[in-house]
Amino acid sequence: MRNSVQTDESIWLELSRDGDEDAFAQLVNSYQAPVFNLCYRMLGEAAEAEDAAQEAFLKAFRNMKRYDPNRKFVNWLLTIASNHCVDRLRKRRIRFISLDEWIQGPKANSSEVGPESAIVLQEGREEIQEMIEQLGAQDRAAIILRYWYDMSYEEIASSLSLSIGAVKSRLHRARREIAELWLENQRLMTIGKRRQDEPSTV
Amino acid sequence: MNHQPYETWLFSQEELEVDQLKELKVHLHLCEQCNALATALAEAEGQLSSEDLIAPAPGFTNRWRERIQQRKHVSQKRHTSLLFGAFSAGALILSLPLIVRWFLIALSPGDIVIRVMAEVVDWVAVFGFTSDVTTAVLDGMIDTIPMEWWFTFAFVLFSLISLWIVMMHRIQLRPQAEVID
Repeated sequence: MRNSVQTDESIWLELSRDGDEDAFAQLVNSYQAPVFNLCYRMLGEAAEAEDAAQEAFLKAFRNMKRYDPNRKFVNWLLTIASNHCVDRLRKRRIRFISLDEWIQGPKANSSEVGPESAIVLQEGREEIQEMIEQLGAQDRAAIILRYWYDMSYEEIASSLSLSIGAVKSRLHRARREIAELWLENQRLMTIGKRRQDEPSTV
Repeated sequence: MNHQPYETWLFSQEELEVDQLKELKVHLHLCEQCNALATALAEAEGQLSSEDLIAPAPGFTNRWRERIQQRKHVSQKRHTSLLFGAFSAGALILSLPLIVRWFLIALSPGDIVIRVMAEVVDWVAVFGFTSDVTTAVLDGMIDTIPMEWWFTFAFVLFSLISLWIVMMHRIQLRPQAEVID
């Protein structure tokens, strides 16, 4: 089964290299989730992530002749998408994302969890996303590629055009920053809870 | 308390030696600050690892198809405008000496009309003369040049015209390559 999927993919890749749109559409269909997820994690907004993912696929299609078949296609796609998002982040002004937008944003499959667990899940997701958004564009890309796509240091280095040493140091810094932010969030939550529990003096 | 090299070990994803691991554990037991950071990192990493891939809204592939068609249309329009512009510029450059001559000589609109008419008459005369000369030359050549040569000439001319049409068509339809950042 896996072999037949791989064969199909190699046929689509071959046809796409000759400019076959239908064949590339099959690849878009197969890889829309990982590419969209990367853009969403990088940019934090569903509409912008959709636009960035569409542009990434368009860039990939126009540059299919440059694709090296020895490289994993999904990694090549993620390279294009992450570079596109890094560029967008550099150009973007600081914007504030409202909580409403978050709640209405796309949600992962949480149909099996109850309403309370879904709220906890959503809170955890927001917390993680907020922390990721505190990181610099390339640190953010490195963390996402490492944790969501299990990329090796070498693959991240190649995707972000960095040396392996630079990737290690970026990941080190980002992990430290995430731990500190997580700790700070926990501290604030504890203070908030204590204040709620205290009897009102009024 | 000195937190190095324990902090570095904590945040690097390199595998530690058994001795280093033991040393780190002892430090975490003694140092509240590093212990809190280690716990926070483990919790955050746990949350990161449990996050699912978020899929786009349904119809993503169709929207991609629409977008590519839209871009193609824009690109074709741009190519057509470029070709038209190039031809217009060429025609303008070719007729520039003629226009300059008219404006240098002509003094009134009447003069311009007379000049234009004179030019048209000149061109008609030149065309008539060229036509006469060509007919005379062809009349002379028709008997001297063998029929096979005429066929070859006609074939080459036809091929060149076809090639030109195909090239123009391909230039119009060629997608513009983009550089990957």
